[in-house]
Amino acid sequence: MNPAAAPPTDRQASREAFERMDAARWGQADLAAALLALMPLRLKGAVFDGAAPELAGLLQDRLTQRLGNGALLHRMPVSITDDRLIGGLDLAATLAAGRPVAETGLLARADGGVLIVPMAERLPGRAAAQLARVIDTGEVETERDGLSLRAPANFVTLAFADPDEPGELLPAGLGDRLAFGLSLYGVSPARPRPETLSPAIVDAARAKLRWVSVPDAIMDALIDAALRLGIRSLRAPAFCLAAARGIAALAGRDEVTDADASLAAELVYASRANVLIDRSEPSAPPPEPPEPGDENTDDASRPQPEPDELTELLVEAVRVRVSLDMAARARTTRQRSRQRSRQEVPPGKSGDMVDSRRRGSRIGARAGDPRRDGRLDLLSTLRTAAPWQRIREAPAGGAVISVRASDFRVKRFRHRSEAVVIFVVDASGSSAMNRLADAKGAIELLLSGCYSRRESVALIAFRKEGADLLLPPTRSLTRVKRSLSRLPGGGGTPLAAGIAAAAQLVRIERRKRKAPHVVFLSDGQGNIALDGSPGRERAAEDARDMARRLKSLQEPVLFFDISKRPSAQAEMISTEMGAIYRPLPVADAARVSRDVRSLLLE
Amino acid sequence: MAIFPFVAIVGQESLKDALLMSAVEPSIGGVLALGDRGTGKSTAIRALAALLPEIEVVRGCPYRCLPSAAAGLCGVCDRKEAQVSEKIAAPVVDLPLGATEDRVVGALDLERALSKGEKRFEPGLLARANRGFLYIDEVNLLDDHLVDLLLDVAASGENVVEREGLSVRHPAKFVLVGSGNPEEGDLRPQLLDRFGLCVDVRTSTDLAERMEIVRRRDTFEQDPAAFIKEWSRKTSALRKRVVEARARVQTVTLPDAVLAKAVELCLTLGADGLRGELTLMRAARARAALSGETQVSMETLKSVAPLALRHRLRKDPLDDTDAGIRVERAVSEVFVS
Repeated sequence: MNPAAAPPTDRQASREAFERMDAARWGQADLAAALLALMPLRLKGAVFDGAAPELAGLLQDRLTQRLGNGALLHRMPVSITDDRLIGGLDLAATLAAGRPVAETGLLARADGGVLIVPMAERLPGRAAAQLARVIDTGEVETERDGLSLRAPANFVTLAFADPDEPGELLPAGLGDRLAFGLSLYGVSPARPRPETLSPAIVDAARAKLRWVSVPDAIMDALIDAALRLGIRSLRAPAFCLAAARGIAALAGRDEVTDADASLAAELVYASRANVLIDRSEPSAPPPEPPEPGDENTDDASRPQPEPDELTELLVEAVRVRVSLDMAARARTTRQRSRQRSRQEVPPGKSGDMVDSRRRGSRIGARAGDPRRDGRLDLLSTLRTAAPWQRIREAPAGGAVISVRASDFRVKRFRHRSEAVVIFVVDASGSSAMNRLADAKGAIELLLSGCYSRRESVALIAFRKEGADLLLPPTRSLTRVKRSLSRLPGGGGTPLAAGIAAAAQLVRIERRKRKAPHVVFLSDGQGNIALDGSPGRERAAEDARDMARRLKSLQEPVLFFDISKRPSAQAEMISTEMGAIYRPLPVADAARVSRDVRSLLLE
Repeated sequence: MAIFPFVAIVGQESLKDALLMSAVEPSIGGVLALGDRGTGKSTAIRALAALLPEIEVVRGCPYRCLPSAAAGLCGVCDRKEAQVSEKIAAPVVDLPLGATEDRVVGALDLERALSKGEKRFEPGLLARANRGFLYIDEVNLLDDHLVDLLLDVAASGENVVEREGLSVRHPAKFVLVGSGNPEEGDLRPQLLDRFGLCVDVRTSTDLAERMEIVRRRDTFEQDPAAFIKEWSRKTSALRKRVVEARARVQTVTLPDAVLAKAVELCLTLGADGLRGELTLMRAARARAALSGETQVSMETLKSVAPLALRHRLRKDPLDDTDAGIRVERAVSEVFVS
């Protein structure tokens, strides 16, 4: 594991292996960009994880060159507002012209080009849903501000994600709608990347594409493999089929081969595979008795109980790809965290702080004085003033519109921003199951009682050497039940890691403009230090440091001391993190949920 | 963009049934489709638009009034002396995300107001959906107040606008169809039972079915026009069935014995309130009409019970049993005795 300890020959060998892998992974990314240029309407786009900025730029350039026809790049900032995204009223032009003038949104402008989504993991659900819908229909519909517009919007989407923090995932509805998902962690930006798939090759393939056929056996194997990899969405096999055709066309063939299919499966399925990468575990869906003696069934639509050779090969190819990606990712994040600790860069990125007074979504407008009551809602104000213009005398100084004090409208915001309750639970030792069950019960009670409040919950458990985000923030009772049904437990008590994970999630949620609240269920006695090494002293010190860091974020924290009788140590840690301290000697989910509601949320 | 034909959709029988029943009997109260993504919820609903029979409307009426019944319905038709009727495609309005309230309910026509100083009402999406369907994809992402507003209008069949000095009321009878993924946030229970039918949409895990779905989709993508043509006969046949069922649905009878069972079923499930019973009966009638029957049979009642009742059960956070299974259990209980 530790490169410094390995003998030099091994190091060289492994470096060569990395370089080969690096070239192969870049090759796949480049192939994906060629396929998107070849069939933009069918494949829709790609998600690239962990791509260095230079490589992202190179992929974008190649894609536009291969698309031809002067295709343009359009960037979609994560913080984009509805009116910039789907269009709305152009107020400046409206006032100048004296009549409503529409402004085209980004999605409509991107028609025929490429839409770049940087930091896609931070894209809010709502913007992702807008984008997903346009990807589906190829059209933007705007029904806003008195305008009703429709515009074509067919573009290729390139999403770049860098989820180096837990809990930051690409909004799933978006990832499902883009054909490819590729990991570029550790692919070096420094190496030369000669172009093997020139625009001319892509053009030639475009002419050939219509005549590429897919043998039935390959088609069946691709669909079967998706199911065996735990991919339920039916978009994936459809994308894979199209990609296989494209790969054959790029190679100048008019029939898809097994190798084309395997490559397509890696490009499409690897990011979507849901089953554990464990070769010993048979992942076959409902077991059916195998039918002996007919390997090549004529009836292609008949379900084959045993995977045929090709299906097995495809599944294997995807599994290998997933495990390589995971290894590369782990390597990169290790390097990054080493760099980070060397440079003493404080964790957290810029833009952490959010103006708490005006966060939350707009819920309408009301009459008021903008100097006193908040932000002026210009449009509503204009709407109010508009009908009176004929009656009012012409405004002085050449102004187009006459607005009086009574016309002023101010924006109304939802006062409380959406709360996220982060449970941090000690899952170490023998009583782990009890505590986790307690937390789970409290979460379910909270969620079932608060539909109208729209709170979401998350669960972090710490045990053995570190902390895991068992449940990313969710409002869904269904999801809670599904993901908490098998809870892990046991081992040492890495309290410091638990607090650190909580602080990190608090930052992530604040960036999403949520109001995080933290709830600890712990006895305050850690015995594993932040780096995973055992030892009470270091562990306690680390825990105190992390507690102070959490306190500095100034979000509400509630600490349940779950030791048999209240301990001084627990109270001390609780004070360090600026928490409200509550002893909880007996497991009681109902009390936890009640206290969370009364002490934190109300 | 070409629309995948409704009749070519493989599987998703409950969703297709629920949509067809609503097309036959709009008073069922809408459909809520919950389930995984990539299951073709949106495909089915958008496909419905191409399937529905055309409707007859008063030409130029923004609310698409039925010519014979136009009098007293809307301000526009009332003022007109001679009405010319025309046939148009039944509206299936896809509510865009990010739609503002003024465009949903209708508002002051800003252009007219600015250019002529005239106070005129510009109808919104609710007017456009009159006599058709209104579809909200990802209903859990829509602002609560907008969803409540839509449900209110859907229930009353009339849109009342009192804003910006305007006072307008117009017919807005439509079938509200919502879809959502419960993994991305459960819906408020108050919202759930205001939809007439609720469908649990799951991705098929049957290999043969999945192969057929992907194959058809692939064929469609390769050449949409040819694919639609290939299915056009089946499309017309189904359209005819809907037209006939609409004509028949009001005359379908409901025997007392069946009615008694329906009431008993609701009691057993604790799905209290009249809404459950009413929906159950209307859905059973529509289903019977679609199958060409003149009377609701016990079988028909049984078959629609999960759709009509699964979202009306009292929720117990500690009971994990799937609601559909609970309904089925109650059905077998009630129908044995």
